[in-house]
Amino acid sequence: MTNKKPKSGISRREFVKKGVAAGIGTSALTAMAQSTQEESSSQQSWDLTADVVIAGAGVSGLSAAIEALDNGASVIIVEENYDCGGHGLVSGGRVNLGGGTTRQRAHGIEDSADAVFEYWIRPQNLEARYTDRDLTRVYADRSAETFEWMVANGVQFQDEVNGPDSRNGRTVQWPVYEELVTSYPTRLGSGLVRALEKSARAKGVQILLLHKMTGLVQDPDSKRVLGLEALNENNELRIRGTKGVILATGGHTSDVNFRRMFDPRLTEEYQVAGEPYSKQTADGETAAMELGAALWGTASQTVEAGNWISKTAHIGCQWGYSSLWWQPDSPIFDKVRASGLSNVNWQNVILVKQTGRRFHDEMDGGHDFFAACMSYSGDPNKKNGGGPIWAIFDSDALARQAWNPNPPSVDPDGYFFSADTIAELAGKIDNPYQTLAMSGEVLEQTVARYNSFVDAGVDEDFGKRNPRYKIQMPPFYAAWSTPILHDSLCGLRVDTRCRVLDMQGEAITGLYTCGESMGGFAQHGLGRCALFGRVAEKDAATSA
Amino acid sequence: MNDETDTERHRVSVAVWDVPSPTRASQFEIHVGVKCAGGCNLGGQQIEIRDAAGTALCHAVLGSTPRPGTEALYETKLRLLAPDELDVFPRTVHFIGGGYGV
Repeated sequence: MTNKKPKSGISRREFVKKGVAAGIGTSALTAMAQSTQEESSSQQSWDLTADVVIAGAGVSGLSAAIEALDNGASVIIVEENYDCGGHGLVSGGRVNLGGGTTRQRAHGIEDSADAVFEYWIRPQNLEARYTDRDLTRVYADRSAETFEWMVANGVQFQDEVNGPDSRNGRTVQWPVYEELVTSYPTRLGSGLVRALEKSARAKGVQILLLHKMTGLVQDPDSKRVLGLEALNENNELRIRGTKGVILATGGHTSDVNFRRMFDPRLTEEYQVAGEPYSKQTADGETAAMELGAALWGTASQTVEAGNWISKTAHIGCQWGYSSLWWQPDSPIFDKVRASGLSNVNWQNVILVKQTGRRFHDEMDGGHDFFAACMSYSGDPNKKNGGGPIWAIFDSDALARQAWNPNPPSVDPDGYFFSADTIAELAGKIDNPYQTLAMSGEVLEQTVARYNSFVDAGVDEDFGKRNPRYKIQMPPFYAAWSTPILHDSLCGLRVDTRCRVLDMQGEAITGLYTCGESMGGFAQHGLGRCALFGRVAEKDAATSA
Repeated sequence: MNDETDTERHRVSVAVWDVPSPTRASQFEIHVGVKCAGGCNLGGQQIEIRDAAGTALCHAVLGSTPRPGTEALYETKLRLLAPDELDVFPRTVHFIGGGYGV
């Protein structure tokens, strides 16, 4: 990657054209024109130059950008998506920041940085048990300050507050309907993202949408990271970051090979919350590891706690993460295809593997359940991963739940099926991740046995408490109910300045990371993303 | 209680519902529906209920129109006699067909 010439030349005029297409304003174009084609001290050619270049315009990247701009630095962000925000834009907007904020004080809650630190290093807290306490201390010390900083940059919080667990409630959904990706009122992350985006743009950030980072550029002699390469359609750009490059690419969960480093069970059938709006592609991690970066805090990714995997809350659709309930008014609903059937009473269904066999108590939603889901699928050609999980129910259940078995509630293109008989239903199940044909005979036996448990009042196989409803009234239904992945809880090794470290613990000069691409501080929500984004920039902006 | 059989290359499958939970009763009713994978009209076709030994206990004729809300599930209602003893007595449904060229 070092000393690599641009794969395809791009003139300033061509770039300006692309820039307009990507939605860059006039003032930004002027700034770019002044900075293109700079020759770096190492005699490399660059298409663009800024003090700080950031990969990813999510919560971490936007926070880093604002901090840099406030410190007088120029900033370019490359973002592979067509819009800003990453997972943050479709998140629940949970922000764990406390330590004595004005909001906490207004509610009479005593909190401090020390209390935050003590809370997040408790060994009883499985989500925090394996975190790096040096990073936890940074989080504790900058928590309250970052909350105030977010408010100063336009983020609105609901008027609720918690104490030493450092949870300052949820943000308020952005009120401009056209700027939302999903309108369901729990998508509060949009409030945070749009506020940060507007603040960053007002302060002069250059955001290059539809520009995917493809690699880092490192000085062959000093090994300092000089910039990055990005691809826009077929045009590759080299962008210099004179003070540093910040990787804020949002984690790795969408990359099947990457996530399987931590857990070989996590094969391709497990979908990711936040998709199809944005993906956690591991771009930042992969590029940094090519330069020798280490991973950190990997135990956090596999500890049986936290939100890295969830039971589906909406069944019969591809993406059924709990609080991300896609609605037909979403501008990307053509990709989402279905909202799913919600408020599932698991007494109304049985869950079966692709073989048609039950495997666990449907009422459970903990890690024993997930382990059972990911247990051997029954396919000798697919020993890892558990294969699809299907919720099987009948028309009586449909009526009890007041569900609509038609689009857009369900996705008949592989994620929801109906049939007049159980045997026919099994034969209809056809999904890209279904590696075995489900036997109608097996599914009939499964249903008959479960119905006998309902008669007896005892689930002899898996201990489902008081199994209540038989599955017998036609028509019958099969709805995708495979657990869904979420948080990246480990990533690149960093020091307390968010400098990326190599296997020897030495900093890779000029390279920083934050948010879900950063290892060592596992936490659900957006607070850590904003906080460590600011830390990363602070060091980059003050470095030579 | 479900069963499948081949009938001139089209498979049929069976659904049985309204089967009562264990109860003290001399007789009870169940519903049986039969679906042809080819979507054939099964109206007027026969089904048979057999005990564990394969002995036919009763016959019934499927209705002339599909059950509402289904694609092509032809149904009928049967009244069965409950055995005198307290035990589990398996019964199976068999599609007999007859005369309609499914």
